[in-house]
Amino acid sequence: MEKMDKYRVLAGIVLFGSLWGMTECLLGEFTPSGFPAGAFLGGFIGLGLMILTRRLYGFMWMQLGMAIVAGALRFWAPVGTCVICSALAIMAEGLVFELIFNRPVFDINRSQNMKSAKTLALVGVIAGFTIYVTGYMFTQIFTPILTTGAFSVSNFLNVLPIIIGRGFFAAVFGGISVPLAVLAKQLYVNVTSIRKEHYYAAAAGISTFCWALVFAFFYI
Amino acid sequence: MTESKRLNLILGAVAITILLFSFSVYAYTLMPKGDSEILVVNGMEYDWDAIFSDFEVTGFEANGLQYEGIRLVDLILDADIENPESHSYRFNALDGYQKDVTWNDIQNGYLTLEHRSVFPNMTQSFWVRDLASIEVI
Repeated sequence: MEKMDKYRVLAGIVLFGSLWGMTECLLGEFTPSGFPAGAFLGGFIGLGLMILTRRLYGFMWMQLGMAIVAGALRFWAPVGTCVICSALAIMAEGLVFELIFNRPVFDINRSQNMKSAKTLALVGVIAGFTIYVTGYMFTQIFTPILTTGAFSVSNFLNVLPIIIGRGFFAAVFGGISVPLAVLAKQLYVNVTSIRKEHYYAAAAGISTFCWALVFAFFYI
Repeated sequence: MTESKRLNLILGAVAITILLFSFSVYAYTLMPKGDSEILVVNGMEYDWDAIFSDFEVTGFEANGLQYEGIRLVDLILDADIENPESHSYRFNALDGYQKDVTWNDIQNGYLTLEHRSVFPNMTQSFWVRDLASIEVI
């Protein structure tokens, strides 16, 4: 893999973070009730985008940056009782991703173990569940603290079965998204080969579109 | 045993444990938590039929659809809650689903004939189906 220009990575962080954030803000509005939208967002969209960008850019800690951008966009969508908690939860998901996939054994670009669909699916199940459950727990801890100033352990324990139960769907989605994002040839683009002017123009245009769409949807 | 096989064995064991455990917990959450015939508000039990005969049922629109139900604020004010405007409220469903809302949200909310809390000004994730109880928090 060619050496990645840090400005390309920065543009990629903004681009993919904006796409992720836009999906986080809008998907819940368009999914039928009963569909596990949260698990889909965490286990398929979020994890899938983070894995795909790790494959395309090969850059550690980029995904935490994407999560920060996605969380920042989520912060502006007035959905939920505690918007900042949802934003922080996305960032927590990014951090958990880094903690898992920065380990040499799970390095999707270098580890030989990460070439097999079966191994990737198993890692996806574990990562999907861990990332979703961590993010959900994060909101359940910080929402009461930031909205009422108090945290009740019993309330948290009451909601744990729901968090873990819904984690099942995130695990299944993760088991699909990780091998798909790593192995699908159709999803691969050699980022370094794209001409600079096209790359930055596309990144800026798509990112602006994502932010504008969220603002238009919720404020106009 | 090669390193790759050993890794797959460990990953497989962890992944299967996660799937079995989380699915078991999910099945547990599907078991009804509460009595589907009554609604508990701040410890007071209301019979669903009585709710819709004792409080005024009105029609309203939410997300482009027409609903019929009672105003949540009427129910909350009836439930002997001191300083209702100074609290938040937790809506619990029979399946364990929970959502917390503020007094301002309550003032714009309804309880429909289908036993669902509906907040026309809020996203549908805040609408709780098969409502079992409303707690003051």
